[in-house]
Amino acid sequence: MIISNIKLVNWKNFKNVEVELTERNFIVGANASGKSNFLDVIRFLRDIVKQAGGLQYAVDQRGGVSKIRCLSGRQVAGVSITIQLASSTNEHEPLWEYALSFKHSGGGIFKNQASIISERVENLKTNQVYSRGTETDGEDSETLKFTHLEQPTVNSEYRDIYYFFQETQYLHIVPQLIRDADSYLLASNKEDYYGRNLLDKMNRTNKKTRDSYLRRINDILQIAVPQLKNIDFITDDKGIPHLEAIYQHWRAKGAKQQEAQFSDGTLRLIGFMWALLDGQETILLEEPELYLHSAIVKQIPEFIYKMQRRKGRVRQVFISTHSYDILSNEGIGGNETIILIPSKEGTGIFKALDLKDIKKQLDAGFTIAESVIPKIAPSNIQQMLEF
Amino acid sequence: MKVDIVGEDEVTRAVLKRMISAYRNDLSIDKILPVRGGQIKVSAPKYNLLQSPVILLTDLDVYDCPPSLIQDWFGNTALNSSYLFRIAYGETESWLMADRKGFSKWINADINLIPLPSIVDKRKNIIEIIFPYKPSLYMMKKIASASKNDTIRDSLLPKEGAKKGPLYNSILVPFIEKIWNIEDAAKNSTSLAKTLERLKSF
Repeated sequence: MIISNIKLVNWKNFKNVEVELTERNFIVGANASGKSNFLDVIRFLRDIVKQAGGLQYAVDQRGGVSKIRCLSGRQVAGVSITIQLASSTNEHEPLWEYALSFKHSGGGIFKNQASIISERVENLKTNQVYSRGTETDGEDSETLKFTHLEQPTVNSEYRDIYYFFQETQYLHIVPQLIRDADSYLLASNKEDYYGRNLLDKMNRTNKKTRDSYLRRINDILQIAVPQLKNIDFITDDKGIPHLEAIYQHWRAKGAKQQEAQFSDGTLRLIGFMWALLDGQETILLEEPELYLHSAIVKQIPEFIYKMQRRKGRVRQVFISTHSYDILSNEGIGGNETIILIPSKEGTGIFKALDLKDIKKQLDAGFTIAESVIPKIAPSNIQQMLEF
Repeated sequence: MKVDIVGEDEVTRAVLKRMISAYRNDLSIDKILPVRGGQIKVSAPKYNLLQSPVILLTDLDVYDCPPSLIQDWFGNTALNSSYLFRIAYGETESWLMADRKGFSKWINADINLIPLPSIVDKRKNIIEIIFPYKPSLYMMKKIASASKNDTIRDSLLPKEGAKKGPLYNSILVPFIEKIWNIEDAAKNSTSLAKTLERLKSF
């Protein structure tokens, strides 16, 4: 399945927005326009359904409802998220709609927490609706702390949504953290913001699958980083997993290196390819261009397009980016580009084709980079030099 | 001998690489220029100042004839003998489609979708395939759309608002490397035949 539509009310810097999505989505916007906050909606839903997760956990992870609620959302108390899921073979065939709205409760001697205002699931094929809220019989402040989506005893009719979000992947690797062997233990049961768990993830994949992924990663690294050969996966005598490769130098046999010695770019590239190979559902990639040579970055759009299509199935990908090289790929469409434009009343979300000035430029033959990057650049940026 | 190659897109660079490896394997490619496509017109005069071998290929595009492009890009400056400056009639893609048999078989569509070559200049004996509009666009809209191969159609048909198909380079580069028959194509395109001649004697 793919996420075909997202509607947000009061979510972080989005006051009231709605956007249609497709198989491949490039999220672009100035700094602090809300690219990560937008992707965070999907991670939030994943936090709700994941093992040892749940609504309270997802809200806590983000510092409570007050940190989630939009600063521009003056009149409306709650935060609402509505998503539609469509078939991945036909994005125009919607399957599910899930809507969740929650607000802050507690304070004083009561614990701060999130309380559900309403939760609604609709099967868009059969039009069957499952709905609950503060007015529903049998609900009280305790039951309203938990979504039905997170509870396997209640969600059997829409288990597909539950599985879908469990399988979404987020990747934003900070190489320094992978190299830090101590963080392997620390991060094991926490949310993996920065790819600390990458090695752990590899460890938990069964050997046959892992070997086949590593073979493909090797083939590509061979082209991008020719000095590095035979990437392999090993566990040391303490049981901690490592990546190992042969670094070719003046000695005939080369030298063995582990991930701590890999370059930033190599680690990012490995993580990026692993996510694309391993992801079963929607994959969120945060700035895949970081640390990579522009010649590699230029290949990213086509590379992702190919990697999304495996075994006759298309997996949705979101890519947040600032990269001119990525966006100058001429195969990127105006429906695949999502532009965030901040204003005093929250950030707006637009598809490139829906903005008249951008559409005019695209029709005139501009690439996405040529038309979109000037649009989102801070208007007085040259003043940075006047200090 | 080491040589730098210059082409504004992935397809042009692949064409240069293939031609060099097929006819001049004594040349080894050093740098691939420019970093960004749009820079080619600005950079072209700078390559003329390098005293090392450079091979550049560009599209004739909207210019009437090669001399008017050269006049516009270089003014009256003479080109250095270590600088092989070549122009493809129409676009580089025209050279690919000039291998009518190979291209139509690979793309899995009727050969008659690729126009027959016509005489551009009778006196100079120049023949080229003339496409009704931009050759790369014609390839995507008219030929690829008629392909019986799903992967080719999906790769080459542009999404709304895009200039090219989502896997345009990924699918064309292997064709250029492995299938494209340069000699056959040169029979239908004088600009290619002459480039080949010049490359051999470079």
